[in-house]
Amino acid sequence: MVRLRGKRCIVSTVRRPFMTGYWPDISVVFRELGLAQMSVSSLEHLDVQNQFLCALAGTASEAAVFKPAMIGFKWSAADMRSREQLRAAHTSATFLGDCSRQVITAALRALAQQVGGKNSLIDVQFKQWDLFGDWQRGKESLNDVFNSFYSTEQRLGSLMFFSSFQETPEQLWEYIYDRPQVRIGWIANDLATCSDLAQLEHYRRKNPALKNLETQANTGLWPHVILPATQTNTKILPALVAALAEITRCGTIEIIPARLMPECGAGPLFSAEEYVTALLAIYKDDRIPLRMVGPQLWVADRIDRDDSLASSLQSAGASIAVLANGDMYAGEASVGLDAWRIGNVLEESDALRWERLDAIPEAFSSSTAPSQCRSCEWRYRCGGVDCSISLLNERQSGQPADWESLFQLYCAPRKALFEEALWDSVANSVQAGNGRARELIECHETGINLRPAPLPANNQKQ
Amino acid sequence: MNTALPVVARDPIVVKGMETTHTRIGLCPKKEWCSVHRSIPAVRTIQALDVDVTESCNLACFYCYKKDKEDAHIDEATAKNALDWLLAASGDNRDLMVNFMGGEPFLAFEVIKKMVLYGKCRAAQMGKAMRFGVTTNMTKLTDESLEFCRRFKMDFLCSVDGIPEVQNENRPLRGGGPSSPAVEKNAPKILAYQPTALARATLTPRSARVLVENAKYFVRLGFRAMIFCPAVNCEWKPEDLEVVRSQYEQMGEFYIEKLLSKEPIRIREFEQGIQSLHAKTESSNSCGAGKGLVHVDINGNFWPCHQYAPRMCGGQFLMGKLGGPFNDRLRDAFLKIDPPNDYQAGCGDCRAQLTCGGAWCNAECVSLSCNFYKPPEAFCHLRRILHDQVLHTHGYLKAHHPKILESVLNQTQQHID
Repeated sequence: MVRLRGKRCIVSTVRRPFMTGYWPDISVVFRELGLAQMSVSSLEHLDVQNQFLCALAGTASEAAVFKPAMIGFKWSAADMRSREQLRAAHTSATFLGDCSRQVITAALRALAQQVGGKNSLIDVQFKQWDLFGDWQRGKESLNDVFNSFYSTEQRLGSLMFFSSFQETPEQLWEYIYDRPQVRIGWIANDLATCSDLAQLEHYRRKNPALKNLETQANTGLWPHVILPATQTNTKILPALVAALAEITRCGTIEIIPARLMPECGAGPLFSAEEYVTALLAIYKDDRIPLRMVGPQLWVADRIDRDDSLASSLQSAGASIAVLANGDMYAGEASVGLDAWRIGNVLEESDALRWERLDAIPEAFSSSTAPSQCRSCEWRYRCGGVDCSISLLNERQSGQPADWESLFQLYCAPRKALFEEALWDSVANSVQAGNGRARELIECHETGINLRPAPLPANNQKQ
Repeated sequence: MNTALPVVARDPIVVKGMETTHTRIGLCPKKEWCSVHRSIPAVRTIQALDVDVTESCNLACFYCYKKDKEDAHIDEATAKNALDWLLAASGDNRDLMVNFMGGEPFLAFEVIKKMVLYGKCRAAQMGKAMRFGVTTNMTKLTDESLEFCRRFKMDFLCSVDGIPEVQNENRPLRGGGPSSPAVEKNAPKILAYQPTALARATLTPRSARVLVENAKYFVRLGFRAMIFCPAVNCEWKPEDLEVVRSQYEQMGEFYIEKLLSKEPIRIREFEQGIQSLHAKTESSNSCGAGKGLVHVDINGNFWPCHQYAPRMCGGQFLMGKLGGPFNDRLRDAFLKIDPPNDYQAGCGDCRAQLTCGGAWCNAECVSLSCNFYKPPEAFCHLRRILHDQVLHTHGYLKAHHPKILESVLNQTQQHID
């Protein structure tokens, strides 16, 4: 199906009968309509897709320049295999609250023994505990994490903790410089209620967290900000992100609907449509670096991949959450749900029920669980709905009507961003294809000219 | 580590047309650093950034290509933005290099300090490594600045012309007076920390007669690596070229003598020539200007390298400005330079092709012959003289000291890698 939108052409489905040979005039149509860009969002086979794109563009002679996204090939066996591979290579542990040294070391040791192979990466996060509050003790806890990796075969990926940034230690850059794995995050709860630009300006001037964040970013800190999107701040989301990008000197910014963040509680639901509009505006805003804002970042990472993906580490059963009392759960979203409690790392270290972690991928196999995912053309790029959404729904049972809204808040922006990213990918490829000819630099007293270089003698016939 | 990092408010970057955007989204128009991302090139393969940290210089070298220097430093905001730009423009490259230039960079040491701390810290968090280097005349070095360089493992490229007589004539202090005493005082300090620091001498018709003497002087100062770059914007008379030929012959002997001694030296132009001869492949144009290297001046303007001064070709080699669009078309032309086709078309049967590779410095070609791809005639003469001596040195080492030749080739390869 070919759909025209302005100067763009969207090809959403191309199946076997419509191979290149059956589309002899499409490149003429493309040029006649003066289309600037085109998007091909679903094709049955890669070779067909390549041929089709070449015929359509008419401007590039090599299929490779398109690097088209490959969508919709694999099904659950490969899907599950990829999750196992992911888990073997990459896991994460989140410590919630003020965890003692014993809890940290026992949990990391248990995780290293149970999941993850040699040289696999383990990301560690501290949440709900501001390490800057008692920085001396905070540093000891971070050291405990580093020490835990001395004797294991795993590697520490990133070590992130979240702070309120109400106070920050002096010479923080020194600590970070010596330990580049450390990332410091800020959950921008203060901005969840920001409804207009005047309020945003007020925050920028008065909010100590924002001031401290800016000061630290100016000395070299590369912070990570989680920005809860709410009904209130969605209208000014692009401005908020631009402001945060400036304050943090382009730290990473992850936008998450507050309703999907367990720590934010069950806030009011808001329209996915409005949220999508805001995210697309951010995507198109050239002041905001694409690869530093999520979920855009999440999409950008996946658009060119040709392997089947899981939506997150937790969905692949590769994430644990540990409470201060030592209780371990199969991921942050499952905290408090007995069905997903693995055990207590201090009291039951020999009897931890790891099978519960193993069960996560199957129980929330994204491609099979929600019916909406089964027919979605993006299911293999996306990996399906994240299990945290399903768990959130389970936790808030009694409000079944919310499921569709929750799902849409997760799904709709990803779909929209995938489509935009594919547009850009194809447009860039067409542009790169056109620009492959060489130009020579001609110099004059007053300026320079670029003129097309003649083709080498042996290429004249091409 | 105990170096204090002063916290300084960032100054605004003035970007034409940005006022409208600020108004539209209601942000305070004091600055918008993230607009540097507007300047990111389409092909993100930049690995090295030369930064003019100052225009100011305490020397008045007669061949300096920056005749109308101002006493101005880069501001801190522009400097940090340039580093942010490099981090983004480098794409997947993980090893990045920033080289401070000037003027004399150590006149802006406070800016250097802030840039190094900021760049190192930020790059580390992004999983990249940012190394820093400085091209200096060595006269403004202090114990504090040297200690800072040592601590952050900064590389040194030392601009020095040779024996005091030459140094003081070619590179006098700006207000008059000799610069060699300061050089002699500071060079050993640098070399104590970094024995591999490179001495870079500009070869002029005036200094040609003492070329070998200069090399020996560098060795006495403690330098183990050196390079002599001809100033092609000088008038080279036939008698000057004969002097150069005679000096290069003696230089070849001196080079071999040192290679055979317990303290071998490295003369970069000999090493590169020997490498090309041995590999029997034409020396390719190794200049990364406009490709993996970009230069940023104190105003945040991007140039292919430091030589493309604003005055050259009416400033049309400007590749962009921090906060504004990047000239991807011009960059594309640099990226697609094809040395065998572009440079050597006019080389005919020149005997030096194997060690020369055609135009060595496009900027000098432009400034002297107004032809991007064709070097000035003086350059060709000098390259042929060098070629003859490299050929002789290579032949001698191959016949009599193959192991020494091997070590020279290995060293060169390491440098290339």
